[in-house]
Amino acid sequence: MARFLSLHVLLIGSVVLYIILGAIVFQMLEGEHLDALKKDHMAKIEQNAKDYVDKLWSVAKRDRDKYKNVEDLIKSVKEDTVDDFNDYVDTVFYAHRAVRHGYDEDSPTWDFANSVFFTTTMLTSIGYGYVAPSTFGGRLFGVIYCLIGIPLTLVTVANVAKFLSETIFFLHYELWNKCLEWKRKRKGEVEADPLQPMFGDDENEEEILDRVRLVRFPPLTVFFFVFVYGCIAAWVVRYWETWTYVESLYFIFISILTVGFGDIRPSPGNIWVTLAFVVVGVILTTMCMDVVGRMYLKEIHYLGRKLKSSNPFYLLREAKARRRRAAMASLLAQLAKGMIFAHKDYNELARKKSKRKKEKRRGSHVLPNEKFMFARLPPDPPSDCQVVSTSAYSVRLAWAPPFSPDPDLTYNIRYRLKHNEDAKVRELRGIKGNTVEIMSVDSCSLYEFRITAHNKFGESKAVYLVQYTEPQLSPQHILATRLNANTIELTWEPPYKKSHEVKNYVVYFTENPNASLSEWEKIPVNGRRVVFPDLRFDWFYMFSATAVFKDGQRSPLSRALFIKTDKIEFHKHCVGHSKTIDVMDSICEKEDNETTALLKRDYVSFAV
Amino acid sequence: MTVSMEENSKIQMLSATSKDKKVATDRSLLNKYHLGPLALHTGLVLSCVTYALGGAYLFLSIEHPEELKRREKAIREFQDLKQQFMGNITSGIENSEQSIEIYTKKLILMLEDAHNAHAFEYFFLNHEIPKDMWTFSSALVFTTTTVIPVGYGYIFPVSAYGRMCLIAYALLGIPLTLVTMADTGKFAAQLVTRWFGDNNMAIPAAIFVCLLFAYPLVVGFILCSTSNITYLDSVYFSLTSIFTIGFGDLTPDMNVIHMVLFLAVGVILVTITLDIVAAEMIDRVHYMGRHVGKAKELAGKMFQLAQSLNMKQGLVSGVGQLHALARFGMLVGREEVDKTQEDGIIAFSPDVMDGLEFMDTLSIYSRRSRRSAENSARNLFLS
Repeated sequence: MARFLSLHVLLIGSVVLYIILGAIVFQMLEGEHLDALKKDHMAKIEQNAKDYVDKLWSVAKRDRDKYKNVEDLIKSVKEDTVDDFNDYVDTVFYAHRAVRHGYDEDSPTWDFANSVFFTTTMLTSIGYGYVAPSTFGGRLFGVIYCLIGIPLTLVTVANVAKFLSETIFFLHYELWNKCLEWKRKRKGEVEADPLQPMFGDDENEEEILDRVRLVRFPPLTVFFFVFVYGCIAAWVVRYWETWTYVESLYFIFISILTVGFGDIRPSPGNIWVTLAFVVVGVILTTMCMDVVGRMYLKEIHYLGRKLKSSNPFYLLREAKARRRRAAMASLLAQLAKGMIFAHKDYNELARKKSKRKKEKRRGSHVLPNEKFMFARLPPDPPSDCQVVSTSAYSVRLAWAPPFSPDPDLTYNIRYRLKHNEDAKVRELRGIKGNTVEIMSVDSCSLYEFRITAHNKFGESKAVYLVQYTEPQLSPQHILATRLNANTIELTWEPPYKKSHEVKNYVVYFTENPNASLSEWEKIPVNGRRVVFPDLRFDWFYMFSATAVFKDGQRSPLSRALFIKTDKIEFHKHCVGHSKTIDVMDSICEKEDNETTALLKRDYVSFAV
Repeated sequence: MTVSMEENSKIQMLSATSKDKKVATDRSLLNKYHLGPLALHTGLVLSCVTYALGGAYLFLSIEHPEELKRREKAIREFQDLKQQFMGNITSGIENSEQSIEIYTKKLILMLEDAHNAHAFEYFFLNHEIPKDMWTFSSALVFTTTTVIPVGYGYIFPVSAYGRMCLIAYALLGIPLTLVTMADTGKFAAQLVTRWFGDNNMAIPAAIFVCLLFAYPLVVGFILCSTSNITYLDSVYFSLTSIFTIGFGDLTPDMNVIHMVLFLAVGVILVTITLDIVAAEMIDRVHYMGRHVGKAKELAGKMFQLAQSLNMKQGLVSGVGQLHALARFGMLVGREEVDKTQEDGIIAFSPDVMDGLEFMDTLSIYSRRSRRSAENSARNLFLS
C-alpha cells in the first residue's frame, strides 16, 4: 500500500516541483523586464503630459494681448495645442497596448503567486495570457519548458484521472448491488443461500479496483458530474469576486475545458482558490474524455469497417457480439490478474486459513463469487434437445443443461401446430428439470416446440424441435432401448381406444433405408415388448408398430423410429462362441414366454 | 396509334434497363472501393466543419448587435471624457496637473475593456471608419479556437446570453472535435505503422516525435517570412498554439483557412504523439504501483486468446473453454485446500434412456449427427 501510493505521490510531487522551479525562473527572467517596461511607459506619459501643459501655458501667455475676449483666447489656445494633446493620448494608448492589464490597482505582476498561476495554466494548456513572456530569454525558456513539461503534466493528470475513474466505477458497482438487493427484498424473494460479501475486509484495495473494471459506466453520468462540479466551483469562486454568477460560470467552464480566453481575471487574494478549483476541474474533464472518448473512439473507428451491410439488424447483432467480446476479454484479463495475485498471496492465504479453521470456508479470495466472474451473461441454449417418445395426446422431451453463469436455471417451452398460421401458441414457464411431458396436444398433428433457457440475467437462444403425434389406435410411446452394441429392445403402451380388444401387435422393421413398406420384415408380438438380438453392427434400423384387434382389423402404423447400433466391441476374455453353450441349448427345452425371442436368424419371413 | 404505343413501350423498357444498370454500377462501386469506413470518417470531419461554421454564424448573430451598441456607447463616453477634461483645463489652469492625472487614470481604465480599446483605436487614433470586431472570418477563428481548446482571446462574447451559449457550445463541441481528431490521428498512425512494419513500434514513435519537433520550426519559418514578427516569436506562437495554450499575446497576419489548417494538423500531430508515447508511460506508471510487473503482458495475451476464441469457434465454445480456464484459475488459488471439489456441472444422463442414442428425422441435422459424417448408413439414408 505504501509503495502503491509512493509512486503516484512521487509523480505528483515532481510535477509540483517542476511548476515551482519554472515559476521562479520566469520570475527572474520576466519580473524586472515588466517593471522596467511599465516605468518606461509611465515616464513617457508624464513627459508628454508635461509638454502639453507647457505648450498650453506658453501659447496662453503669447496670445494674451491679441484677444480682448476670453472665449476667443480659449478657442485659439485649443486649436494650437491639438497636436500635443493627440501625442499625449496616443502615448497612453500605446502604453496600454504594450502591457495589458498593467496599470490597475491590482495589476498582475511577476510575484510568486502569479508566477505559479502562470506556469500551472501554461502546463495544463489553459493559457489565459494575463501575463506572458515578452523577452527573448523568457520566450526561449518557455519553448523548452513546454516541450518537457506538457507531456509530464499530461501523464500525471491522466494518471490521477484514471485512479479517480476507477474509484467511481467501484462506488457505482456497490450502489448497483445494493439496488438489486433492495429490489429482491421488495419483491419478497428470500434466497436460501444469502450472498457472500463481495469483498472481504482483508483484501487489498488494488484488487478491488482491478475487479471493478468489468462494469460499463454510463457516459451521461460523467458529463453530469463534470457539469455539477462546474456549477459548484462557480458558486464558490465568486464569493471573493465582484462577478455575477453567469460570469463566474463562464470563467470556470472556459478554464476547465482548457480554452482560457483571459477576458475575466481573478483578484490577487483569490488566486490560490481559483487555481485549486481549475486544476481539479481539468482532472475531472480529462477523466471524462478518457473514459467516454476512448470508449466511443474505438467503436467509431472500427464500426466503419462493417458498414458494407445496410441491414440494421445486422448492425445490432454485430454491436451485441462486440459487447460480449469486450466483456469476455475483460474477464480473461481479470482472470490473468487473479492468477497472478493468487500466486503472490498464496502464503498469506494459507496462513490466514490456518488461523480460521473453525470458520466457514468461502471461495477463493481471488475470485470470491463466481457470479461476479462471469459478468451477468445470459445462459447458452440447451444442448442435445430431443423428443423421447410421443403418443396421441402427449410428447416427452429431454435435453442437457447448458452452461450458465447463474446456477438458477429455468426453461421455457412454447409449442404450436407447425403449419397452421392461426394456431394458438401455448407456453410452459419455469421448468426446472431436464425432461418434460407436454400433455395438451392433438393426435395425428405436427407440432413445433421452442425451448429456451432462462436465468436472472436474460434468456438464451431458442432450440426448435418438430414432431408428429401418434394416432389414437396405434401403440403409444414407442421407446427403443439399446441393450447391447447390436441388441435393441422396443417397448410401448397400448392404444387409447379399444385397448381391451387388442389381440397382438405386429412390428415392422428393416435395415434397408430404400425399402418400401411391403418389403419390410414383420413379426407378431403378443406382449408390449420385443427384443431384436444379433443385429448388424454400426447400422441404421427403422421400426414401426401396429395393433391387431380381435375382429381382425388393424390400427394405423405408428411413427417410424430410426435407431443406430453401435460398433463392435471385443472383450479380452471372450473371443469366439463356445460349442458347449450350443449343446446345452439344444438339450434343454425351454418353455415359450414373453421374453423368448421368436425370430431366429434363419427365417426370412413370417406370415401372420 | 399502335405504332406510337409500341414506341412508348420501347422507351419504357430502355429507361428501365438504364436504371437497373445505374443501380448495379453504384453498388459495384461501393463494394469495389470500400467506401464504407471512408464515408464514416469523412462524415465525422464534415460534421465538425459544419459545427464550426454553424457556431460562427450563431455567435456572429448574437454578438454583432451587442458590439454595435457598445461601440456607440464607448465613443460617446470618450467624447464626454474629453469635453470634461477640456472644461477643467480652461476653467482653472492652475489645476492642470491634477486634471491630467485624473484624465490619464480614467482613460486607462476605459481602455481595459476590449470594445473600448478597439473603438478608440479606429475612431480616435486612425480617424477611420471603425471595423467590426465580429466578422464572419473572425467568428470562424473564434469558434475553431474554442472547440480545439486553444482560446487566444482576441474576441470573446460579452453578453450573458452569448456566454451561456458558449458554455453549451464548448461542452458539446470539444468532445466532438477531440474524438474526430483522435480518430483521424489513429487513421494516420495506422497508415504509418502499416508502412513501416507492424512488429517494431519504436520506429513510428520516433517518426512522430521528430515530426512534432519539426512542425513548429517549419511553421515558424513560414510565419516569419510572411508576417512581421521574428523567428523565435513565430516558433513561440506556433508551439503555444499546437499545445492549445494560446496566450494571444501575438497577432500574426494569417489567412483564416491557413490558421484553421495549421491548428488542426498541429493538434492532430500532438494527439498522435502523446497517444503513442505517453499511453505507454501512463500504463507503466499506473500498473507499476500495484506490484503487477507482468500483468499487462499477460492481459494482452489473454485478450488475444479471447479474440481468437470468439472469431474461430463462436461464442459457445469460447464460454466453455473460458469456464474451464476459470476453474483452472480457481484451482490455482485453492491448490491444497480443496483437492476433491466437485464440478458444478454434471454430465446429462436421462433416466428413461439407458445409453440409447436414437434420433428423429429432423435431428439427423443436429450437432451430434454431424460428428459421424463418415457413417455409410447415414449416407445411404440421406441418399
